[in-house]
Amino acid sequence: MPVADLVAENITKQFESAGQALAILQGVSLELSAGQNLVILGPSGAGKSTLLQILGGLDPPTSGTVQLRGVNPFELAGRELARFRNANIGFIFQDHHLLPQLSALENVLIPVLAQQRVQRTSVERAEQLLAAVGLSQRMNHRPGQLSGGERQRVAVARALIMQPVLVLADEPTGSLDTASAQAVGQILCDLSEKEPAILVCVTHSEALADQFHRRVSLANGRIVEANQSSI
Amino acid sequence: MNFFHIAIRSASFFWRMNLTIALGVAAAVAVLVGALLVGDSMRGSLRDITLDRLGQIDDLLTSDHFFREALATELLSEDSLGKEFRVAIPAIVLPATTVEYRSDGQLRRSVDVTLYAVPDAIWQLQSSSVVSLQAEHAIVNQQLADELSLDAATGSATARPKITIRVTARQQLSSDSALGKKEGLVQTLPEIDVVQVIPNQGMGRFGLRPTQMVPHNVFVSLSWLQQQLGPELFKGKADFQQANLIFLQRRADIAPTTAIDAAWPTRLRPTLDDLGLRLTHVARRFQPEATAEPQLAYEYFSLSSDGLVFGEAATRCIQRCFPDTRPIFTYLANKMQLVRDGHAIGDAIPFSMISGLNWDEKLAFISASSGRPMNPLAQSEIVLNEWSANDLDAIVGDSIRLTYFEPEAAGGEGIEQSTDLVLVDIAKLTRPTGPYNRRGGRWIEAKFDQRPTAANDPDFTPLVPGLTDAESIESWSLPFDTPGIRSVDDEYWKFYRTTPKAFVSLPTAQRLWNSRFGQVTSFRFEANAAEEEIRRQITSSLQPDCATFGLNLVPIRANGLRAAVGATPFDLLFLALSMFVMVSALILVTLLIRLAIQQRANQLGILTAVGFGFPKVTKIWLAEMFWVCSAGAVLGAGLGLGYAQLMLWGLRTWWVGAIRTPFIRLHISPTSLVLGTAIGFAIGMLTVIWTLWLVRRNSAIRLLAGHIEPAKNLKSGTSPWSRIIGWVLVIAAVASLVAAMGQGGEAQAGLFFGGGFCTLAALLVFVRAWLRRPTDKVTKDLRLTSLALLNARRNPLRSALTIGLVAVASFLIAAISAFRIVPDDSGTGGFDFIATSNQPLFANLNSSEGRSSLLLEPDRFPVEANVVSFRLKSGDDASCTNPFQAAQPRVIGVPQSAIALLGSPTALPFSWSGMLSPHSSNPWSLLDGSKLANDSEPIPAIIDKNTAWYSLKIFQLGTTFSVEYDSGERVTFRLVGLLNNTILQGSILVSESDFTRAFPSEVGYRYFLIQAPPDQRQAVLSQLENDLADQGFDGRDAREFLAELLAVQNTYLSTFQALGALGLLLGTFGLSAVQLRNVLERRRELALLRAIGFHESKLVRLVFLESFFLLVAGLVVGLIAAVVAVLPHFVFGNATIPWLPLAVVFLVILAMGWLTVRWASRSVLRAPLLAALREN
Repeated sequence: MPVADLVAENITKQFESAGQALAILQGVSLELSAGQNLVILGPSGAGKSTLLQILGGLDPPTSGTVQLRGVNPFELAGRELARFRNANIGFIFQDHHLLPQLSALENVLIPVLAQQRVQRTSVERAEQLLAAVGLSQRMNHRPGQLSGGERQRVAVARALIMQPVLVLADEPTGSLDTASAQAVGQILCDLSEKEPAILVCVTHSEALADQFHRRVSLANGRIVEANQSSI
Repeated sequence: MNFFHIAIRSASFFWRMNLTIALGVAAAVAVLVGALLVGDSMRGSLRDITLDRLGQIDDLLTSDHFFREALATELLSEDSLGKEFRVAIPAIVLPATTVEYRSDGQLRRSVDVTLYAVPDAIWQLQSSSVVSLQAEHAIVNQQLADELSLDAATGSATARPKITIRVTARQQLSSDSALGKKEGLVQTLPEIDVVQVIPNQGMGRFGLRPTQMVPHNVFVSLSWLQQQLGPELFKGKADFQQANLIFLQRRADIAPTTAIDAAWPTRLRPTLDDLGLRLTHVARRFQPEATAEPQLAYEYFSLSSDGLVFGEAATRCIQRCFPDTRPIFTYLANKMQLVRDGHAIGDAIPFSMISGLNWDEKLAFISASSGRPMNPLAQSEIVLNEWSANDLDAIVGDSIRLTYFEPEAAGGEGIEQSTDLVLVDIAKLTRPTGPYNRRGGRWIEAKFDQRPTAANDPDFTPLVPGLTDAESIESWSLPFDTPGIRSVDDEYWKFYRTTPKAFVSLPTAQRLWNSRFGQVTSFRFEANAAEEEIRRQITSSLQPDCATFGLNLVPIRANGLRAAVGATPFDLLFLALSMFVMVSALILVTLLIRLAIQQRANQLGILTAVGFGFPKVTKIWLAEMFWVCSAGAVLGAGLGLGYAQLMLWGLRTWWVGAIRTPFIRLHISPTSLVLGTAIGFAIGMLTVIWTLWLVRRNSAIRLLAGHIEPAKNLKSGTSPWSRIIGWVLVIAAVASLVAAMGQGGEAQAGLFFGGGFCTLAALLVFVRAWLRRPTDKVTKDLRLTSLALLNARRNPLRSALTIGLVAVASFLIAAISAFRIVPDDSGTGGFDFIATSNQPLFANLNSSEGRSSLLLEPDRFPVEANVVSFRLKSGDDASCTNPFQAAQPRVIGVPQSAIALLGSPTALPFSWSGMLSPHSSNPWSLLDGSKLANDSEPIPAIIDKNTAWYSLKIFQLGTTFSVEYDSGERVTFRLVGLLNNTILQGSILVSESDFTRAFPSEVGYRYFLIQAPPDQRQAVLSQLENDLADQGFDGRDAREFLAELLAVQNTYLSTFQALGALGLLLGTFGLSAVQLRNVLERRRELALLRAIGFHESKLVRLVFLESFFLLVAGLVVGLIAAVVAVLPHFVFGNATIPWLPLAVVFLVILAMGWLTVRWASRSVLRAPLLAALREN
């Protein structure tokens, strides 16, 4: 049996609130390979975003392990973890978190700058990505001059600029209208397939979820439903 | 794209926020640059004064005696010092002169004037034109003219104002010696026409001492003064062409700070006369037969001093150069009497010269009985000459009682002592054929037809004008009566004049008559060469040590420039005083940067999420902040100029008490501008780094959510540590206050202040804990105020910083009042007046004899009045009112009687800050420490703490330090006691015995502390000032004087408070700016409240209450702590708290805060509702 690119085993996460332990995730396991995509559904407070943050190396689990291509990111320290995330993981948030002072193209190039000088090849790739998300005419516009859907497409391009193994999207269409949400979802799935990368997306939107090959539902920190037996 | 690119884009995109940060940095830079410029300005202004004071004068050749005026011309010759100096102008300088001017029937008097007798050439050393000085003409400077209310409009010769000048003629014989003149020392120059008033610049400001105060100067013609005072001043000199100072200007290529060749004395080649020495060729002859050639009986050269006695250093120098020379010490005995069985028998011989010397085969007296040379004398042995032995009817083996005055007169009174010596031989004396005759004003020696013996020598006695040249003993000019003169004594005077009537060994003479003035009156040199050769040998040998003989080259410009560095580092002082403004600005910068980071937290989050490590995130921010801080720093440098101008304006007006006169002007040095800007910039950048450092551990998730505080910081309100720290601080505060009860003075103020500060810190810890306390308690009664309080607690750190800023400022402004000092008896020692006199007084004003001799109406002077006299060595004022660095501080000699009086249990004690023997019943007795020590031991000194610390930079008791005076003395002191804020500031206090040892040429008493009956205070002072007007007696109220001294410290406190208030005001504006941003962040939330029905005015009130709460909380916390610090001090009654000004300051701050916060609240809420709701 081939080893999956992303392996999450028995992930738990607890918080303390008002002196009581609050279990957010209770033994979640996942395995995904490059080119696969997955949508995580569930009610508010089910632990979807927390799971995404753990998979992205942003928040350590209380117990359990995460391995991306054999590397447990939580075993890495500061600078190595930053480098690992930069090289392997792309993020898309509900709030696009673009830097308002930079143009769309510059925002896409930001992850490149994190580890190296911006070369011409990186700029060309950023232009290609922006063209791929339909923004070839808006590359030099600032976030304030773009619509919500366009901003999120810039965020998608930014997430893919480093050709990551894993793309994590947290409610990427949460603040978009239906048409924009549809378009962004499609772009996300197409690009992740083309790159290829593992795409994990958290959403409340069934419409977006329908565009993914595989889905799981979380409730009370556990996977309660999966549409594929392999999960 | 690179970091630089992002930084520039970010800096311009967030320009509003960055502008506020830049302004904060600008404020900090402005304070730094401003403070450094104040330091520059003080040094620059002191330098200006120095340069103005000296004009083109670089050096002075000074002397404690008069020398030939021609030395100035000789000095400029090529083989002398002509390579160094281009101008040399001789002058006579007489400090401590009194000038009187009568106008409209009113007599105005200025004491402490310096008289300069100068040739017209002196005016070439200054730029403004001055009229030529003629006989009986004077020029005064504007300062003196103002003091005398003398009208400068000198039109016609008849309309010229006329002044009277009173100067003191320096006596050859020290007035402190038994033989020295004590009265009639003042010479009066009446009816002198003032022909010009010159401005207080150049020579008009010239002074020997570095001070910012303009001196009182009067100028007269040198040649005229020489003629007027010559007969009195230049006794024994060859002519009246004498001077005591040469003004020197260096050649252009010799920098003022370059040390002049150490061999200058040799190159200058002063004559023995210039060194105050006199070489006499003594060749005594006899003529056995009228027709025969006179035969030489003996011959030698005698070196004597203008000052009669050679000082110790001069003696050492001569003996080092000429080991074979024979020292002689001649003294005047009041009486010589035969003593048998312990009783004086027969008539006494009055007023006899006794010489002490060691003789050998080269100089042996012939025994009258044996006709053989006498043996050397042992201690307690005496030899009489034949005349004396016959007169006393004394035989060998008898005791001879010598009665004489102690060499040093105590309190102006000669003290008689006597000693009995054994007559071991009688010296043969040859009677001359006739008496001495006076011809053409000179004495012609008596003639001998038989060989005069070695004892037949009147030249054992050096020339003493008024004594040795007198017609008869009765005409001697002595400060005491000469009773008991018999006809035989007059006859002896006619035939033998100053020939000693008795001889003792040199050790015996030195034991009996040793004094601080010296113990050798002449040196005898073998006549083994021609006079010119002997003179050349002696001159060339002594020239290198001309400083020992009082001739000094003083680099007055270099010294002045060194002193102009200042006693107080004003840049550091104003930096400290402005510290709070800077701290306010930096706290503001911190708040603003935190706000900026908070506003852009999601950017940090996304950067972190995409793989930027903290160093890289910091790099991006630092790159951006580099431009922001740079802009702020450049702006701040400009503002710093304004801030410096403001401070200088303050120093010239409100705070002039700190520098006494408004002399300070702006001086800008590029170094200060660059340094201040660079440091301010660096501090701004460090603040950025620190603020970023605080958020470094925050997770990307929290940053993405807009939080910059780590979750754990918000998890629970108070850690047990904060409670522990808070209570420890409370305990520390209580302990400080309890400890303060047992202290006094500044130690008490310091402990109260410390207690208050601990209270402040404790309160801030508790406030912070309260702000951080979880707000999970549900408020049932939700009102606008409680909602405002909840909002104020939303960002605990920001709120705590804001409250802390206001609280610390309030505390400092209010609590610093505790350090204000009020003049009281502990500073005046209970004395009513402090006085000085130009001329020394020799009589004791506390004795009825002294009062009778000095006061015109002694009976009118209250018996209970107490006038304590001190000796005074003039020097630099080392009090904190003199901003110049005091290099030669003045010294006060405290007599034994004053030591006993000041330390007596009944006297009001001066306040002490510390002493070497704290358990001594009389701390003043510490001055007696060197009594048993030898001369090389440092002199115990008591100094006021302010003088020691700030002027002399001596911080520890027991420290030894040396001072070299222009007059040649090098004195080492040891600090044994520190007075605390007393009228004795500015001087070094030593015992009288140490004083006279260190400064033998200083005579009499010139410094006085006066106590008077309460109802006769002014009368006492008036009587002293009037009756001692000739001596330039000038007194002033001790409390006023102390208040003037304390004004410096109190003014600095006022400055600190004013700048603290400025800082607080800045903090208030900052608070408004921060709250403005705070509210901007919450526009959506506030818009929502408006949407659901809150009226705009209610929201304004809500926002206003949030901000005003922080302001009031800060003020209250600060004031509570300040009350803890100040109240006990106030209750004990030793603090003056300016309640009203403080209340006004705080009310103004509260009002300003109220206005700015209200404005901020209103302006934010003017935004349209929907736009605010939609805003991201």
